[in-house]
Amino acid sequence: MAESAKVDQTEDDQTKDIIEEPDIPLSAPSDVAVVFRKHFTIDAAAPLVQLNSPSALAYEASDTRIPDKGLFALICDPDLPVRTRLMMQMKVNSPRCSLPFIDWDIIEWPLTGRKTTVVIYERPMGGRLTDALASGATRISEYDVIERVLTPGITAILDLSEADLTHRAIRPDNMFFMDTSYQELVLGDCVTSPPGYDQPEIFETIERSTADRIGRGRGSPYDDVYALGVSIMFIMLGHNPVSHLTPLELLIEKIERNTYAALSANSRVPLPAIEFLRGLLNDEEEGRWTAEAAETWIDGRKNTPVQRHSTPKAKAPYHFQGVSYNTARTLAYAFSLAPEETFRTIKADENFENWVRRNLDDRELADKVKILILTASRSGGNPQHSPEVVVAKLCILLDPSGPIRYKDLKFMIDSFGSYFAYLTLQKQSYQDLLEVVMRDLFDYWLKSQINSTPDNAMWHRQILRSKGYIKIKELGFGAERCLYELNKNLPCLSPLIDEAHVTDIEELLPAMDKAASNAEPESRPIDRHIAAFIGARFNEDIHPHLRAMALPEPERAIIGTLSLLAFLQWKQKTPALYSLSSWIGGLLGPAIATYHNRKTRRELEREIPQLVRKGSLPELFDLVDNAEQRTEDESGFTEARKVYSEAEIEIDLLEGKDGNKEENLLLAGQKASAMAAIMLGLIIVSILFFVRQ
Amino acid sequence: MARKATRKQAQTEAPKKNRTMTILWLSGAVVGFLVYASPTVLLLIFGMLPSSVAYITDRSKEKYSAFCIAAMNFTGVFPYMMELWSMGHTLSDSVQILTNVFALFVMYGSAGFGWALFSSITPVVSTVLATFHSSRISTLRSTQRTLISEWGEGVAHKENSGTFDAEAAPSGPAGTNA
Repeated sequence: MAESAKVDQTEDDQTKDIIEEPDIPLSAPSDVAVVFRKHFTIDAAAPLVQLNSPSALAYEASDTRIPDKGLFALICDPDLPVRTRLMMQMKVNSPRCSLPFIDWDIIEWPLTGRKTTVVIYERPMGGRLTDALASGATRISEYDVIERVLTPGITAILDLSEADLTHRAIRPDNMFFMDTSYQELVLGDCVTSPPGYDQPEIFETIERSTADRIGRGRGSPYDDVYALGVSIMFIMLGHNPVSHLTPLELLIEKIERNTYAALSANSRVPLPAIEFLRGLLNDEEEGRWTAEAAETWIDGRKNTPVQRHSTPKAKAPYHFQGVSYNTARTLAYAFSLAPEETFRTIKADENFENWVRRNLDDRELADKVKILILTASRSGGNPQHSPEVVVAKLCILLDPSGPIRYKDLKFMIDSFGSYFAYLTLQKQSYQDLLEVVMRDLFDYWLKSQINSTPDNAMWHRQILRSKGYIKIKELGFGAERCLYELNKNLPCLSPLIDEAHVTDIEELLPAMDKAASNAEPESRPIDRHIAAFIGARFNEDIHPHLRAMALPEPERAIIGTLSLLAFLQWKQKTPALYSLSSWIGGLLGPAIATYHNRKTRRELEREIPQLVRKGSLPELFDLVDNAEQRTEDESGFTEARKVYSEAEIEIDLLEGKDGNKEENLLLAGQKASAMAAIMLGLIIVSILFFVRQ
Repeated sequence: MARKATRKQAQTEAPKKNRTMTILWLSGAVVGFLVYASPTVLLLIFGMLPSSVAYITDRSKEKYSAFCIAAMNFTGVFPYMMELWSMGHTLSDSVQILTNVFALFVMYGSAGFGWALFSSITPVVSTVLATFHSSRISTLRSTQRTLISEWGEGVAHKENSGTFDAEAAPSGPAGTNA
């Protein structure tokens, strides 16, 4: 069977179920060509169905600089996060033995009318490996599988790992022949979808296969090595040996027997392949061959014999929902599928802890489970100990290397960012994901890991920062800030500019300027997404601006908005922004009203249209919130109030505080009379005195 | 202990004794002066009688009318007081002056003039002041109206609510804002 070396596509139902065509039109009704970077042309009327990726559609492409070179373009799904960092690296240094990466960009795709990512690859002239095998155009025997599949696969993984990257899309139907003689095999596209997203479960390691598709994570070269091993097994056997199993059955098989044994159960694995397949398919990461070890083996040097491990089985199974489970891992998987039932069960069933202690023979785990159950039963309504949280923690205890399983989410820690981006792009609620952070499940997962890795320390810091952002609800922070901090290449998802696909901070102001002409004049230019995007991408201290924008007083908020945008324009030397200036100019009424002096206000109102015509936000800000002018206004106002107050006091005095104006006047008259009499008396007495002398 | 108490008692009694002595000396001096100046005192008592009456009848706190009458009353008494001093300054001289109808007429008449003065100047001065105050109030009101038209209603508010806190506003791009 191995010699036939044909992959039976009809049996590979699991693969087909997962690899679905993206739900976008295939071709344009007439010739529509998209040109980008001046020299690449994509023919939207010429789809290349045979080169489609599960998450991206293929079209004919050409480069005017090298017209003879066959190229094709993959048009990504705009609602799916793509691997931009990988694209940047591959453009600079395309790894060997992978589909030659030419370029990428963001374009407006005419068939959808939306901006999306396009990737240009060199066209594989031999087509897809599975197609070539199915049509009988070529055969890969047990003797040349090492040279034709293992060697290029390992070379590609090594090249990627040197750049700290992973492929995460290694499977037979994503391998291509670059030549028509079917000799040069390369790994296919890996950038148009999140890591592992397009992989059928069988190509994923036990840990990552139990996660959601989007939650499988970036992984490591070990995961690529494993996927390569499964791919080679498929190629050699010519079919999916476990197509008859359900995902749970497959998982149980993999866990209880190990992957190699599960895949080779009913088939004869050719002798030359046994050693390296055992090495590649080892379920324990520590025991699995590294790409370097595989290369050493290919070079003819011996590796340390692979120790076959399988997860220790319980002495007696635990029955849950009518199914018997022999390992903690499979039980964790089952628990995660029915959290409410699990919570009821572990609270009611006193034997569960005993089962862990005696049948799994793990006292430490049993003690942790006991504490968890005790805490849950005493916590009352504390959300930190809700049934979902308790079950998630229990699953982590039972399967520490597995994904975090909370409510309907199952994801590896390194997929947190892409999962968050995916839910946002799909316009789904990400509340559960935030709850994972706020209820310290990440910390719990990290503390439960047996081996501490640098990645774990990095994630610990990342989660702490994310938690800090989520806690602050003000503009520029919150979940949105967390989203953009975790996804450095995610475009700004503000409804105002989402069509512009702004991924770089320098593109933000021009996009806002373009959007300003169609914006509601009364609406605010900066929403939560734009503020968070600026906070995450702009490497300057913008906290004073954000604080001002978050103030409840509209006049201060609009000055905060203007100051932030002016700061951006000034720092980035952005050309004139006429529409944006006009929009903001129309919102400055409350800010102008903060000046007390009416004359100053009139002058500002007269000068704003002139500055709007210049499109300069810094000048507009300087006009509206000039510190010198503001100080003058304040001191003038203070002086005016003092004068007013003094006048008021004098008026009160003149009018009489208690309305005794007449009495005061009478008293003043009487006083004057007395004074006059005394003066007159003194004069007369003096005259008399001197006359008498 | 007993010696201590005695010393304390002696210390408190000493100032009391001094004060009593001072009062005695002063009283002696006053009595001496009254005896010596009894003709003048007699003349003043009877000559300034209208002033005393005015002082008693004026219920106001300031006693302006009493001052006014007393000032004029004194000008009427003063020539006779000088005459008394030149005559020899005896009680009989004093009685002689006080029994002179003309002298009494001058003394009491001048007090009456004082009252007339008080009654006539007071309304005139009140009216003049009222006019002056009205003019000043209208000037002040005009100033206030100008301030409001220039600075807004906030200028008349006693609280600080209308004030824009320049410190709270963010600073703009460096170099664009003073």
